[in-house]
Amino acid sequence: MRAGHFSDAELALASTGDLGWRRRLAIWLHARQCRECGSAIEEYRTGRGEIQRGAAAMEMDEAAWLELEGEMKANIRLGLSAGRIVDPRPGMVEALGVEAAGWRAAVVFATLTVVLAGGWLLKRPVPGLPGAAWQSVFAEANAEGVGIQEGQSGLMLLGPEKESSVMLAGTAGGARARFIDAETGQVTIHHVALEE
Amino acid sequence: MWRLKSNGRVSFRVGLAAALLAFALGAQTGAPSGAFRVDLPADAPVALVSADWGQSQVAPRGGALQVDLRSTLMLKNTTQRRIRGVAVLVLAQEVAAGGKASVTVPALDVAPGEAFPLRVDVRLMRPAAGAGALVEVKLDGILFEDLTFYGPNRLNSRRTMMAWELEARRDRKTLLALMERGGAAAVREEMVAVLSRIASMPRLDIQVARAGRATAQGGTAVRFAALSMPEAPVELTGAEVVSAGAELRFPHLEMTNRSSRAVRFVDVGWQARDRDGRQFVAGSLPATVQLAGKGKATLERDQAYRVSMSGATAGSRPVEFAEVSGFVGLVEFEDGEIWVPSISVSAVTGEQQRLAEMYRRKGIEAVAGELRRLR
Repeated sequence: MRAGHFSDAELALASTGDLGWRRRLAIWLHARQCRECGSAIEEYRTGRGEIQRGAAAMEMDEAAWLELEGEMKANIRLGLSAGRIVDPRPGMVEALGVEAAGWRAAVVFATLTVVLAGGWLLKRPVPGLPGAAWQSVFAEANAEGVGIQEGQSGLMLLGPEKESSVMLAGTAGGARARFIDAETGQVTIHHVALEE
Repeated sequence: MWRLKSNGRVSFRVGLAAALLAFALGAQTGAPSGAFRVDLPADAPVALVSADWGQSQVAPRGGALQVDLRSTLMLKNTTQRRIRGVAVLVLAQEVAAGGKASVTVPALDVAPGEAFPLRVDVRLMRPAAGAGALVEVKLDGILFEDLTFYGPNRLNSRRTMMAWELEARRDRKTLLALMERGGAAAVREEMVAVLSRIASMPRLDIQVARAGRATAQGGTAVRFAALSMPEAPVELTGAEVVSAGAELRFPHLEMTNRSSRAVRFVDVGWQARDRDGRQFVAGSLPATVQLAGKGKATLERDQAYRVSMSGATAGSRPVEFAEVSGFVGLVEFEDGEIWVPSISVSAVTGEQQRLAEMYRRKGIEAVAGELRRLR
Protein backbone atom coordinates (compact mmCIF):
# COMPACT_ATOMS: atom_id res chain seq x y z
CA MET A 1 0.00 0.00 0.00
CA ARG A 2 1.27 3.39 -0.90
CA ALA A 3 1.43 5.96 1.90
CA GLY A 4 -1.71 8.07 2.06
CA HIS A 5 -3.63 5.71 -0.25
CA PHE A 6 -5.96 2.76 0.27
CA SER A 7 -4.79 -0.80 -0.32
CA ASP A 8 -5.49 -2.53 -3.64
CA ALA A 9 -7.66 -5.07 -1.83
CA GLU A 10 -9.86 -2.34 -0.38
CA LEU A 11 -10.08 -0.53 -3.71
CA ALA A 12 -11.14 -3.79 -5.41
CA LEU A 13 -13.78 -4.45 -2.78
CA ALA A 14 -14.97 -0.86 -3.02
CA SER A 15 -15.48 -1.35 -6.77
CA THR A 16 -18.01 -4.12 -6.05
CA GLY A 17 -19.72 -2.41 -3.11
CA ASP A 18 -18.53 -5.12 -0.71
CA LEU A 19 -17.25 -2.80 2.01
CA GLY A 20 -19.11 -1.36 4.98
CA TRP A 21 -20.69 1.99 4.32
CA ARG A 22 -18.20 3.96 6.43
CA ARG A 23 -15.17 2.51 4.68
CA ARG A 24 -16.91 2.86 1.33
CA LEU A 25 -17.67 6.52 2.05
CA ALA A 26 -14.06 7.18 3.11
CA ILE A 27 -12.73 5.59 -0.08
CA TRP A 28 -15.26 7.42 -2.22
CA LEU A 29 -14.26 10.79 -0.68
CA HIS A 30 -10.58 9.94 -1.12
CA ALA A 31 -11.04 8.76 -4.72
CA ARG A 32 -12.68 12.05 -5.62
CA GLN A 33 -9.38 13.80 -4.77
CA CYS A 34 -6.92 11.06 -5.77
CA ARG A 35 -6.75 10.30 -9.47
CA GLU A 36 -4.60 7.18 -8.90
CA CYS A 37 -7.09 5.49 -6.56
CA GLY A 38 -10.04 6.65 -8.66
CA SER A 39 -8.63 5.12 -11.83
CA ALA A 40 -7.73 1.94 -9.91
CA ILE A 41 -11.36 1.52 -8.85
CA GLU A 42 -12.44 2.06 -12.44
CA GLU A 43 -9.96 -0.61 -13.63
CA TYR A 44 -11.30 -3.11 -11.10
CA ARG A 45 -14.80 -2.39 -12.28
CA THR A 46 -13.74 -3.00 -15.90
CA GLY A 47 -11.92 -6.17 -14.89
CA ARG A 48 -14.99 -7.44 -13.05
CA GLY A 49 -17.11 -6.94 -16.14
CA GLU A 50 -14.58 -8.90 -18.19
CA ILE A 51 -14.61 -11.72 -15.64
CA GLN A 52 -18.38 -11.88 -15.69
CA ARG A 53 -18.45 -11.92 -19.48
CA GLY A 54 -15.79 -14.60 -19.46
CA ALA A 55 -17.74 -16.65 -16.92
CA ALA A 56 -20.85 -16.38 -19.07
CA ALA A 57 -18.85 -17.52 -22.08
CA MET A 58 -17.66 -20.50 -20.04
CA GLU A 59 -21.13 -21.97 -19.85
CA MET A 60 -20.90 -25.53 -21.08
CA ASP A 61 -23.61 -27.37 -22.85
CA GLU A 62 -24.67 -30.88 -21.84
CA ALA A 63 -22.56 -32.54 -24.50
CA ALA A 64 -19.44 -30.85 -23.17
CA TRP A 65 -20.26 -31.93 -19.62
CA LEU A 66 -20.78 -35.53 -20.79
CA GLU A 67 -17.44 -35.45 -22.59
CA LEU A 68 -15.74 -34.12 -19.46
CA GLU A 69 -17.46 -36.77 -17.33
CA GLY A 70 -16.30 -39.53 -19.69
CA GLU A 71 -12.74 -38.25 -19.56
CA MET A 72 -12.77 -38.15 -15.75
CA LYS A 73 -14.17 -41.68 -15.49
CA ALA A 74 -11.53 -42.96 -17.91
CA ASN A 75 -8.79 -41.37 -15.81
CA ILE A 76 -10.21 -42.90 -12.62
CA ARG A 77 -10.34 -46.37 -14.22
CA LEU A 78 -6.79 -45.96 -15.48
CA GLY A 79 -5.66 -45.01 -11.96
CA LEU A 80 -7.40 -48.03 -10.41
CA SER A 81 -5.89 -50.42 -12.94
CA ALA A 82 -2.43 -48.99 -12.40
CA GLY A 83 -2.94 -49.27 -8.63
CA ARG A 84 -3.84 -52.96 -8.92
CA ILE A 85 -0.74 -53.67 -11.00
CA VAL A 86 1.65 -52.12 -8.50
CA ASP A 87 -0.24 -53.23 -5.33
CA PRO A 88 1.90 -55.95 -3.62
CA ARG A 89 -1.05 -57.16 -1.38
CA PRO A 90 -2.90 -60.35 -2.44
CA GLY A 91 -6.34 -60.06 -4.11
CA MET A 92 -9.60 -61.31 -2.54
CA VAL A 93 -9.39 -64.73 -4.13
CA GLU A 94 -5.79 -65.27 -3.08
CA ALA A 95 -6.44 -63.99 0.47
CA LEU A 96 -9.64 -65.90 1.25
CA GLY A 97 -9.43 -68.93 -0.91
CA VAL A 98 -11.66 -69.73 -3.88
CA GLU A 99 -14.58 -71.09 -1.76
CA ALA A 100 -14.87 -68.13 0.64
CA ALA A 101 -14.54 -65.63 -2.17
CA GLY A 102 -17.32 -67.45 -4.00
CA TRP A 103 -20.07 -67.07 -1.36
CA ARG A 104 -18.94 -63.55 -0.50
CA ALA A 105 -19.21 -62.64 -4.15
CA ALA A 106 -22.68 -64.19 -4.21
CA VAL A 107 -23.75 -62.03 -1.22
CA VAL A 108 -22.37 -58.91 -2.90
CA PHE A 109 -24.12 -59.82 -6.16
CA ALA A 110 -27.45 -60.42 -4.35
CA THR A 111 -27.19 -57.11 -2.46
CA LEU A 112 -26.44 -55.24 -5.67
CA THR A 113 -29.44 -56.89 -7.33
CA VAL A 114 -31.74 -55.79 -4.50
CA VAL A 115 -30.39 -52.21 -4.61
CA LEU A 116 -30.75 -51.99 -8.39
CA ALA A 117 -34.24 -53.48 -8.35
CA GLY A 118 -35.30 -51.07 -5.57
CA GLY A 119 -33.86 -48.14 -7.50
CA TRP A 120 -35.71 -49.17 -10.64
CA LEU A 121 -39.00 -49.54 -8.73
CA LEU A 122 -38.61 -46.09 -7.17
CA LYS A 123 -37.56 -44.39 -10.37
CA ARG A 124 -39.60 -46.40 -12.84
CA PRO A 125 -41.22 -44.31 -15.51
CA VAL A 126 -44.91 -43.62 -14.91
CA PRO A 127 -47.33 -42.71 -17.65
CA GLY A 128 -48.32 -39.06 -17.71
CA LEU A 129 -47.10 -35.84 -19.12
CA PRO A 130 -44.04 -36.09 -21.29
CA GLY A 131 -41.05 -34.74 -19.36
CA ALA A 132 -40.62 -32.01 -21.95
CA ALA A 133 -43.86 -30.34 -20.81
CA TRP A 134 -42.44 -29.88 -17.31
CA GLN A 135 -39.13 -28.73 -18.70
CA SER A 136 -40.58 -25.83 -20.69
CA VAL A 137 -42.78 -23.37 -18.80
CA PHE A 138 -44.48 -24.28 -15.55
CA ALA A 139 -45.84 -22.54 -12.47
CA GLU A 140 -44.89 -23.59 -8.99
CA ALA A 141 -45.97 -22.94 -5.39
CA ASN A 142 -43.85 -24.03 -2.46
CA ALA A 143 -42.84 -22.87 1.00
CA GLU A 144 -40.49 -20.28 -0.51
CA GLY A 145 -43.00 -18.61 -2.80
CA VAL A 146 -44.84 -18.93 -6.09
CA GLY A 147 -43.09 -18.64 -9.42
CA ILE A 148 -42.77 -19.37 -13.09
CA GLN A 149 -39.87 -21.37 -14.49
CA GLU A 150 -38.86 -21.18 -18.11
CA GLY A 151 -35.62 -22.97 -18.89
CA GLN A 152 -32.83 -21.26 -16.97
CA SER A 153 -34.93 -18.16 -16.39
CA GLY A 154 -37.55 -17.70 -13.76
CA LEU A 155 -39.55 -15.33 -11.63
CA MET A 156 -40.65 -16.06 -8.08
CA LEU A 157 -42.71 -13.96 -5.69
CA LEU A 158 -41.13 -14.64 -2.31
CA GLY A 159 -43.16 -15.05 0.85
CA PRO A 160 -42.20 -13.03 3.92
CA GLU A 161 -39.40 -14.41 6.06
CA LYS A 162 -41.69 -14.43 9.10
CA GLU A 163 -45.01 -15.57 7.75
CA SER A 164 -47.28 -17.20 10.26
CA SER A 165 -49.20 -19.44 7.94
CA VAL A 166 -49.42 -20.12 4.27
CA MET A 167 -51.93 -21.82 2.01
CA LEU A 168 -50.88 -22.99 -1.41
CA ALA A 169 -53.05 -23.75 -4.38
CA GLY A 170 -52.62 -24.73 -7.97
CA THR A 171 -55.02 -22.89 -10.23
CA ALA A 172 -55.72 -23.46 -13.89
CA GLY A 173 -52.49 -22.50 -15.58
CA GLY A 174 -51.02 -20.94 -12.49
CA ALA A 175 -50.25 -21.09 -8.82
CA ARG A 176 -51.28 -19.09 -5.81
CA ALA A 177 -50.16 -18.66 -2.22
CA ARG A 178 -51.99 -16.89 0.58
CA PHE A 179 -50.10 -15.98 3.71
CA ILE A 180 -50.19 -13.69 6.69
CA ASP A 181 -47.21 -11.64 7.77
CA ALA A 182 -46.35 -12.59 11.36
CA GLU A 183 -45.26 -9.05 12.20
CA THR A 184 -47.95 -6.92 10.61
CA GLY A 185 -50.84 -9.36 10.29
CA GLN A 186 -51.27 -8.22 6.68
CA VAL A 187 -52.79 -10.74 4.28
CA THR A 188 -51.08 -11.14 0.93
CA ILE A 189 -52.04 -13.27 -2.07
CA HIS A 190 -49.30 -14.08 -4.55
CA HIS A 191 -50.41 -15.34 -7.92
CA VAL A 192 -48.56 -16.36 -11.05
CA ALA A 193 -50.25 -17.31 -14.30
CA LEU A 194 -48.95 -18.89 -17.45
CA GLU A 195 -49.90 -16.95 -20.55
CA GLU A 196 -52.89 -18.46 -22.30
CA MET B 1 -11.32 -21.91 -22.04
CA TRP B 2 -11.63 -18.20 -21.57
CA ARG B 3 -8.73 -15.85 -20.96
CA LEU B 4 -8.84 -12.49 -19.25
CA LYS B 5 -7.83 -9.75 -21.64
CA SER B 6 -5.08 -7.64 -20.15
CA ASN B 7 -2.38 -5.18 -20.99
CA GLY B 8 0.75 -4.13 -19.14
CA ARG B 9 -0.84 -1.15 -17.42
CA VAL B 10 -3.71 -2.94 -15.81
CA SER B 11 -2.46 -6.52 -15.56
CA PHE B 12 -1.35 -6.38 -11.91
CA ARG B 13 -4.50 -4.76 -10.61
CA VAL B 14 -6.80 -6.83 -12.77
CA GLY B 15 -4.98 -9.96 -11.64
CA LEU B 16 -5.48 -8.98 -8.02
CA ALA B 17 -9.07 -8.08 -8.76
CA ALA B 18 -9.60 -11.53 -10.28
CA ALA B 19 -8.51 -13.14 -7.00
CA LEU B 20 -10.59 -10.82 -4.85
CA LEU B 21 -13.61 -10.92 -7.09
CA ALA B 22 -13.61 -14.70 -7.05
CA PHE B 23 -14.67 -14.21 -3.43
CA ALA B 24 -16.72 -11.10 -4.04
CA LEU B 25 -18.72 -12.73 -6.83
CA GLY B 26 -19.32 -15.76 -4.65
CA ALA B 27 -20.85 -13.44 -2.10
CA GLN B 28 -23.91 -11.36 -2.75
CA THR B 29 -23.81 -7.79 -3.97
CA GLY B 30 -26.34 -5.02 -4.12
CA ALA B 31 -28.94 -5.07 -6.85
CA PRO B 32 -28.28 -2.74 -9.77
CA SER B 33 -29.84 0.68 -9.47
CA GLY B 34 -32.97 1.10 -11.56
CA ALA B 35 -33.75 -2.61 -11.25
CA PHE B 36 -37.21 -1.80 -9.93
CA ARG B 37 -39.71 0.53 -11.58
CA VAL B 38 -43.09 1.48 -10.12
CA ASP B 39 -45.65 2.71 -12.59
CA LEU B 40 -48.83 4.30 -11.24
CA PRO B 41 -51.32 6.04 -13.54
CA ALA B 42 -51.70 9.79 -13.07
CA ASP B 43 -55.32 9.39 -11.95
CA ALA B 44 -54.62 6.47 -9.59
CA PRO B 45 -56.46 6.54 -6.26
CA VAL B 46 -53.14 5.88 -4.51
CA ALA B 47 -49.83 7.76 -4.60
CA LEU B 48 -46.37 6.35 -4.04
CA VAL B 49 -45.01 7.86 -0.82
CA SER B 50 -41.73 5.95 -0.71
CA ALA B 51 -40.08 2.80 -2.00
CA ASP B 52 -37.39 1.04 -0.03
CA TRP B 53 -35.38 -1.76 -1.66
CA GLY B 54 -32.34 -1.67 0.56
CA GLN B 55 -32.14 -5.44 1.00
CA SER B 56 -32.02 -6.28 -2.70
CA GLN B 57 -29.14 -8.53 -3.72
CA VAL B 58 -27.51 -10.11 -6.75
CA ALA B 59 -25.64 -13.41 -6.66
CA PRO B 60 -24.17 -15.49 -9.50
CA ARG B 61 -25.57 -19.01 -9.89
CA GLY B 62 -23.54 -20.90 -12.48
CA GLY B 63 -23.90 -19.06 -15.77
CA ALA B 64 -26.94 -17.13 -14.56
CA LEU B 65 -27.64 -14.41 -12.05
CA GLN B 66 -30.04 -14.68 -9.14
CA VAL B 67 -31.49 -11.28 -8.37
CA ASP B 68 -33.49 -10.85 -5.17
CA LEU B 69 -35.42 -7.60 -5.23
CA ARG B 70 -37.01 -6.89 -1.86
CA SER B 71 -39.02 -3.76 -1.55
CA THR B 72 -41.64 -2.13 0.61
CA LEU B 73 -43.78 0.37 -1.23
CA MET B 74 -45.60 2.92 0.92
CA LEU B 75 -48.82 3.90 -0.82
CA LYS B 76 -51.23 6.63 0.25
CA ASN B 77 -54.99 6.68 -0.24
CA THR B 78 -55.62 9.93 -2.13
CA THR B 79 -59.40 9.49 -2.36
CA GLN B 80 -62.23 10.23 0.05
CA ARG B 81 -63.25 6.56 0.24
CA ARG B 82 -61.87 3.72 2.33
CA ILE B 83 -59.76 1.19 0.44
CA ARG B 84 -60.43 -2.51 1.06
CA GLY B 85 -57.91 -4.10 -1.30
CA VAL B 86 -55.02 -3.38 -3.67
CA ALA B 87 -53.50 -5.49 -6.44
CA VAL B 88 -50.34 -4.84 -8.44
CA LEU B 89 -48.94 -6.59 -11.48
CA VAL B 90 -45.31 -7.69 -11.33
CA LEU B 91 -43.83 -7.82 -14.81
CA ALA B 92 -40.43 -9.17 -15.80
CA GLN B 93 -40.58 -9.67 -19.53
CA GLU B 94 -36.89 -10.42 -19.81
CA VAL B 95 -37.10 -13.51 -17.63
CA ALA B 96 -40.71 -14.62 -17.70
CA ALA B 97 -42.09 -13.92 -21.12
CA GLY B 98 -44.41 -16.89 -20.68
CA GLY B 99 -46.13 -15.64 -17.56
CA LYS B 100 -47.31 -12.84 -15.34
CA ALA B 101 -47.52 -12.34 -11.62
CA SER B 102 -49.55 -10.30 -9.19
CA VAL B 103 -49.46 -9.31 -5.54
CA THR B 104 -52.86 -8.72 -3.97
CA VAL B 105 -53.45 -7.32 -0.50
CA PRO B 106 -57.09 -7.81 0.50
CA ALA B 107 -58.61 -7.24 3.95
CA LEU B 108 -57.34 -3.66 4.13
CA ASP B 109 -59.18 -0.82 5.81
CA VAL B 110 -57.32 2.29 4.68
CA ALA B 111 -58.90 5.63 5.54
CA PRO B 112 -58.67 8.66 3.23
CA GLY B 113 -55.20 10.20 3.38
CA GLU B 114 -53.77 7.19 5.23
CA ALA B 115 -50.60 5.41 4.05
CA PHE B 116 -50.11 1.64 4.03
CA PRO B 117 -47.25 -0.73 3.13
CA LEU B 118 -47.15 -3.14 0.20
CA ARG B 119 -44.30 -5.65 0.12
CA VAL B 120 -43.08 -6.89 -3.24
CA ASP B 121 -40.28 -9.44 -2.91
CA VAL B 122 -39.21 -10.97 -6.21
CA ARG B 123 -36.51 -13.46 -7.13
CA LEU B 124 -35.35 -13.51 -10.73
CA MET B 125 -33.11 -16.05 -12.40
CA ARG B 126 -31.77 -14.59 -15.60
CA PRO B 127 -28.82 -14.91 -17.95
CA ALA B 128 -25.75 -13.03 -16.74
CA ALA B 129 -25.90 -10.67 -19.71
CA GLY B 130 -28.85 -8.31 -19.55
CA ALA B 131 -29.75 -4.73 -18.96
CA GLY B 132 -32.64 -2.43 -18.22
CA ALA B 133 -35.29 -2.47 -15.55
CA LEU B 134 -35.67 -6.03 -14.24
CA VAL B 135 -39.06 -5.69 -12.65
CA GLU B 136 -41.89 -3.34 -13.33
CA VAL B 137 -44.70 -2.95 -10.79
CA LYS B 138 -48.01 -1.68 -12.17
CA LEU B 139 -51.30 -1.04 -10.46
CA ASP B 140 -53.89 -3.65 -11.46
CA GLY B 141 -56.78 -2.64 -9.26
CA ILE B 142 -58.18 -1.10 -6.11
CA LEU B 143 -61.35 -2.16 -4.35
CA PHE B 144 -63.20 0.38 -2.24
CA GLU B 145 -65.44 -0.15 0.75
CA ASP B 146 -68.55 0.33 -1.39
CA LEU B 147 -67.29 -2.49 -3.69
CA THR B 148 -66.55 -0.11 -6.57
CA PHE B 149 -63.37 -0.89 -8.42
CA TYR B 150 -60.61 1.07 -10.14
CA GLY B 151 -57.93 -0.34 -12.42
CA PRO B 152 -57.07 -2.11 -15.67
CA ASN B 153 -57.87 -5.53 -14.10
CA ARG B 154 -55.44 -7.41 -16.33
CA LEU B 155 -55.15 -10.32 -13.90
CA ASN B 156 -58.81 -10.24 -12.82
CA SER B 157 -57.94 -8.72 -9.48
CA ARG B 158 -61.46 -7.25 -9.25
CA ARG B 159 -62.89 -10.76 -9.07
CA THR B 160 -60.25 -11.93 -6.57
CA MET B 161 -60.75 -8.99 -4.22
CA MET B 162 -64.55 -8.94 -4.56
CA ALA B 163 -64.73 -12.65 -3.72
CA TRP B 164 -62.46 -12.14 -0.72
CA GLU B 165 -64.54 -9.22 0.52
CA LEU B 166 -67.86 -11.05 0.10
CA GLU B 167 -66.56 -14.17 1.82
CA ALA B 168 -64.99 -12.07 4.58
CA ARG B 169 -68.26 -10.24 5.25
CA ARG B 170 -70.09 -13.60 5.35
CA ASP B 171 -67.55 -15.14 7.76
CA ARG B 172 -67.54 -12.10 10.08
CA LYS B 173 -71.34 -12.12 10.13
CA THR B 174 -71.29 -15.80 11.15
CA LEU B 175 -68.77 -15.10 13.91
CA LEU B 176 -70.73 -12.07 15.13
CA ALA B 177 -73.84 -14.23 15.42
CA LEU B 178 -71.76 -16.77 17.32
CA MET B 179 -70.50 -14.05 19.66
CA GLU B 180 -74.02 -12.80 20.31
CA ARG B 181 -75.15 -16.32 21.19
CA GLY B 182 -72.14 -17.60 23.14
CA GLY B 183 -70.03 -14.55 23.91
CA ALA B 184 -66.28 -14.19 23.34
CA ALA B 185 -65.70 -17.74 24.63
CA ALA B 186 -67.59 -19.21 21.67
CA VAL B 187 -65.52 -17.15 19.23
CA ARG B 188 -62.34 -18.22 21.02
CA GLU B 189 -63.35 -21.85 20.62
CA GLU B 190 -63.91 -21.32 16.91
CA MET B 191 -60.54 -19.55 16.51
CA VAL B 192 -58.77 -22.45 18.24
CA ALA B 193 -60.56 -24.88 15.91
CA VAL B 194 -59.43 -22.87 12.85
CA LEU B 195 -55.82 -22.81 14.09
CA SER B 196 -56.03 -26.54 14.64
CA ARG B 197 -57.31 -27.10 11.08
CA ILE B 198 -54.48 -24.95 9.69
CA ALA B 199 -51.90 -26.89 11.71
CA SER B 200 -53.24 -30.24 10.55
CA MET B 201 -53.04 -29.34 6.86
CA PRO B 202 -50.11 -30.94 5.12
CA ARG B 203 -47.66 -28.56 3.52
CA LEU B 204 -47.73 -29.00 -0.21
CA ASP B 205 -45.46 -28.22 -3.11
CA ILE B 206 -47.50 -27.75 -6.27
CA GLN B 207 -46.47 -27.50 -9.90
CA VAL B 208 -48.75 -26.68 -12.81
CA ALA B 209 -47.94 -27.14 -16.50
CA ARG B 210 -49.83 -27.26 -19.74
CA ALA B 211 -50.54 -30.86 -20.67
CA GLY B 212 -51.49 -30.29 -24.28
CA ARG B 213 -54.71 -31.86 -25.49
CA ALA B 214 -53.09 -33.53 -28.48
CA THR B 215 -50.51 -35.38 -26.44
CA ALA B 216 -51.06 -39.07 -25.82
CA GLN B 217 -51.36 -39.46 -22.07
CA GLY B 218 -51.85 -42.44 -19.83
CA GLY B 219 -52.99 -42.69 -16.24
CA THR B 220 -55.81 -44.14 -14.23
CA ALA B 221 -59.23 -42.66 -13.53
CA VAL B 222 -59.70 -41.15 -10.07
CA ARG B 223 -63.10 -41.18 -8.38
CA PHE B 224 -64.67 -37.73 -8.43
CA ALA B 225 -67.45 -36.47 -6.15
CA ALA B 226 -69.22 -33.14 -6.59
CA LEU B 227 -70.31 -31.47 -3.35
CA SER B 228 -74.07 -30.94 -3.30
CA MET B 229 -74.83 -27.21 -3.13
CA PRO B 230 -78.55 -26.64 -3.76
CA GLU B 231 -78.27 -22.86 -3.49
CA ALA B 232 -75.44 -22.52 -6.03
CA PRO B 233 -76.49 -20.96 -9.37
CA VAL B 234 -74.21 -23.43 -11.17
CA GLU B 235 -74.17 -27.16 -10.51
CA LEU B 236 -71.10 -29.28 -11.06
CA THR B 237 -72.50 -32.37 -12.75
CA GLY B 238 -69.36 -34.36 -13.42
CA ALA B 239 -65.66 -34.39 -14.12
CA GLU B 240 -63.06 -36.68 -15.58
CA VAL B 241 -60.06 -36.88 -13.28
CA VAL B 242 -56.95 -38.82 -14.23
CA SER B 243 -53.88 -39.47 -12.14
CA ALA B 244 -50.51 -40.82 -13.11
CA GLY B 245 -48.17 -41.09 -10.15
CA ALA B 246 -48.13 -37.68 -8.48
CA GLU B 247 -49.66 -36.03 -11.52
CA LEU B 248 -53.31 -35.08 -11.74
CA ARG B 249 -55.35 -33.84 -14.69
CA PHE B 250 -58.94 -32.73 -15.12
CA PRO B 251 -59.52 -33.26 -18.86
CA HIS B 252 -63.26 -32.55 -18.63
CA LEU B 253 -65.57 -30.62 -16.31
CA GLU B 254 -69.32 -30.63 -16.79
CA MET B 255 -71.66 -28.02 -15.34
CA THR B 256 -75.23 -26.80 -15.59
CA ASN B 257 -76.50 -23.28 -15.06
CA ARG B 258 -79.48 -23.49 -12.71
CA SER B 259 -80.20 -19.78 -12.94
CA SER B 260 -81.76 -17.89 -15.81
CA ARG B 261 -78.86 -15.42 -15.94
CA ALA B 262 -75.87 -15.85 -18.22
CA VAL B 263 -72.63 -16.81 -16.47
CA ARG B 264 -69.16 -15.82 -17.66
CA PHE B 265 -66.88 -17.33 -15.00
CA VAL B 266 -66.96 -20.25 -12.59
CA ASP B 267 -64.32 -21.18 -10.02
CA VAL B 268 -64.38 -24.84 -8.98
CA GLY B 269 -62.44 -25.62 -5.82
CA TRP B 270 -60.98 -29.11 -5.48
CA GLN B 271 -59.74 -31.08 -2.56
CA ALA B 272 -58.23 -34.53 -2.57
CA ARG B 273 -57.63 -37.55 -0.42
CA ASP B 274 -54.44 -39.53 -0.82
CA ARG B 275 -53.95 -43.28 -0.49
CA ASP B 276 -53.07 -42.81 3.21
CA GLY B 277 -56.46 -41.18 3.85
CA ARG B 278 -55.14 -37.64 4.32
CA GLN B 279 -57.34 -34.89 2.99
CA PHE B 280 -56.05 -31.60 1.66
CA VAL B 281 -57.13 -28.65 -0.44
CA ALA B 282 -54.85 -28.40 -3.41
CA GLY B 283 -56.34 -25.83 -5.68
CA SER B 284 -59.04 -24.42 -7.83
CA LEU B 285 -60.08 -24.66 -11.43
CA PRO B 286 -61.09 -21.19 -12.55
CA ALA B 287 -62.86 -21.31 -15.88
CA THR B 288 -64.01 -18.59 -18.23
CA VAL B 289 -67.25 -19.93 -19.66
CA GLN B 290 -70.11 -18.87 -21.88
CA LEU B 291 -72.94 -20.43 -19.97
CA ALA B 292 -76.38 -19.21 -21.00
CA GLY B 293 -79.28 -19.20 -18.55
CA LYS B 294 -80.32 -22.82 -17.83
CA GLY B 295 -77.56 -23.93 -20.18
CA LYS B 296 -74.97 -26.70 -19.94
CA ALA B 297 -71.26 -26.66 -20.66
CA THR B 298 -68.41 -29.13 -20.90
CA LEU B 299 -65.00 -27.60 -20.32
CA GLU B 300 -61.74 -29.07 -21.54
CA ARG B 301 -58.75 -28.43 -19.33
CA ASP B 302 -55.20 -28.82 -20.58
CA GLN B 303 -53.35 -28.31 -17.31
CA ALA B 304 -51.62 -30.93 -15.24
CA TYR B 305 -50.78 -30.68 -11.54
CA ARG B 306 -47.98 -32.25 -9.59
CA VAL B 307 -48.45 -32.24 -5.85
CA SER B 308 -45.96 -33.38 -3.24
CA MET B 309 -46.06 -33.22 0.53
CA SER B 310 -43.26 -31.35 2.22
CA GLY B 311 -42.29 -30.78 5.83
CA ALA B 312 -40.36 -32.37 8.62
CA THR B 313 -42.74 -35.23 9.31
CA ALA B 314 -43.72 -36.20 5.79
CA GLY B 315 -40.42 -35.46 4.09
CA SER B 316 -40.87 -34.41 0.49
CA ARG B 317 -42.75 -37.09 -1.37
CA PRO B 318 -45.29 -37.17 -4.17
CA VAL B 319 -48.97 -37.46 -3.38
CA GLU B 320 -50.79 -40.50 -4.72
CA PHE B 321 -54.38 -39.47 -5.32
CA ALA B 322 -57.21 -41.78 -4.30
CA GLU B 323 -60.23 -39.50 -4.49
CA VAL B 324 -60.99 -35.94 -5.57
CA SER B 325 -64.01 -33.83 -4.70
CA GLY B 326 -65.05 -30.53 -6.19
CA PHE B 327 -67.33 -27.64 -5.28
CA VAL B 328 -68.47 -24.43 -6.90
CA GLY B 329 -66.62 -21.71 -5.03
CA LEU B 330 -67.50 -18.64 -7.10
CA VAL B 331 -69.77 -17.66 -9.97
CA GLU B 332 -69.53 -14.44 -11.93
CA PHE B 333 -72.60 -13.47 -13.93
CA GLU B 334 -72.46 -11.71 -17.27
CA ASP B 335 -73.23 -8.35 -15.60
CA GLY B 336 -70.24 -8.66 -13.25
CA GLU B 337 -72.17 -9.65 -10.14
CA ILE B 338 -70.38 -12.24 -8.07
CA TRP B 339 -71.89 -15.12 -6.10
CA VAL B 340 -70.09 -16.95 -3.28
CA PRO B 341 -71.53 -19.74 -1.10
CA SER B 342 -73.56 -18.51 1.88
CA ILE B 343 -71.67 -20.85 4.19
CA SER B 344 -67.98 -21.62 4.21
CA VAL B 345 -67.13 -24.59 2.00
CA SER B 346 -63.33 -24.54 2.28
CA ALA B 347 -61.65 -26.06 5.30
CA VAL B 348 -60.26 -22.61 6.18
CA THR B 349 -61.25 -19.42 4.38
CA GLY B 350 -58.99 -16.41 4.06
CA GLU B 351 -60.88 -14.32 6.63
CA GLN B 352 -61.01 -17.21 9.11
CA GLN B 353 -57.24 -17.56 8.69
CA ARG B 354 -56.70 -13.81 9.19
CA LEU B 355 -58.85 -13.63 12.33
CA ALA B 356 -57.34 -16.79 13.79
CA GLU B 357 -53.86 -15.34 13.32
CA MET B 358 -55.05 -12.12 14.95
CA TYR B 359 -56.32 -14.20 17.90
CA ARG B 360 -52.97 -15.97 18.14
CA ARG B 361 -51.02 -12.71 18.14
CA LYS B 362 -53.32 -10.34 20.06
CA GLY B 363 -55.95 -12.37 21.86
CA ILE B 364 -59.72 -12.72 21.69
CA GLU B 365 -60.43 -9.08 22.56
CA ALA B 366 -58.71 -7.96 19.35
CA VAL B 367 -60.83 -10.36 17.31
CA ALA B 368 -64.03 -9.26 19.03
CA GLY B 369 -63.09 -5.63 18.40
CA GLU B 370 -62.42 -6.35 14.73
CA LEU B 371 -65.79 -8.08 14.34
CA ARG B 372 -67.59 -5.12 15.92
CA ARG B 373 -65.57 -2.55 13.92
CA LEU B 374 -66.20 -4.17 10.52
CA ARG B 375 -69.83 -5.08 11.29
